Amino acid sequence: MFWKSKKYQLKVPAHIDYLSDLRAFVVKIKDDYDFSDKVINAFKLCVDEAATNIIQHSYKGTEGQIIIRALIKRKHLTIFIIDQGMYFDLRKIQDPDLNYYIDIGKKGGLGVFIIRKLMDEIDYYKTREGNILKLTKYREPEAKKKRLRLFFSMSNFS
Amino acid sequence: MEGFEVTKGATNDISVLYLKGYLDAHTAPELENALQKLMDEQNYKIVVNFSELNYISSAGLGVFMGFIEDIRKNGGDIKLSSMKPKIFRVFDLLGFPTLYDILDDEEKAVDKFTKS
Repeated sequence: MFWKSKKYQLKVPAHIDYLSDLRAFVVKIKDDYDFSDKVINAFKLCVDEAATNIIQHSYKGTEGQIIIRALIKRKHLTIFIIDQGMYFDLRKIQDPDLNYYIDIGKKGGLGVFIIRKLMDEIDYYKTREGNILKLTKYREPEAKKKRLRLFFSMSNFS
Repeated sequence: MEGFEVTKGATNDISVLYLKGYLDAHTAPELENALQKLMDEQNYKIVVNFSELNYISSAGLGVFMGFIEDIRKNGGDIKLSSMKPKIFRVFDLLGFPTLYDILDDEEKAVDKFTKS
């Protein structure tokens, strides 16, 4: 089967009222391209978490836009989340200590951890278009193969 | 639009919150208000029934983290019940099962209070 990569895009105001539209964008990809529930549910949650971070930390409640763009390939799905707010590299955020968070009544700081756990690849960079968070997840068999390749390549060094 | 509803019930002195729909940063304040109201009424034994909840993000989980310490200091607890597997997976991903009682159904969650 010949596969051309496809691109989809949606632009919404940077406001929590629009989180459901961003999630609906991800579900539309599942309907059109037959990704597994596991892949799509992971993206729904990670897009929600990333957009919430952009609204709260990059734009800090000021007006702005969020662009979500999907690149669909045979082996994987990549979603780019683009904003023109402050540069906020979530890869530098430390993993949360839940016990400590509960002690101090902290409610946030979990989204980045979720993204790290669920995505296969995360990248963040700045272009003329804005800050770009690039999230990639492989279709299940590919993800397994990739983990196996990593395991064997590490074994060769041990 | 994906909505969210929280309704309140009770079994003896235990308050039960029933969650329905989609819980994210947009709708989390509704859950926060419901839990705050229980605190104001000094109801510290709380079961949250997730059977009709279809989606949760970290903003929803954060609500439970924000209240649990105060509730436990007052001799109460929040026990979570009846989650669909996809909802439980999010709690599990963040390590909540080691910090909260998560039960299969509401009756078991209520029993956990009465038998402890």
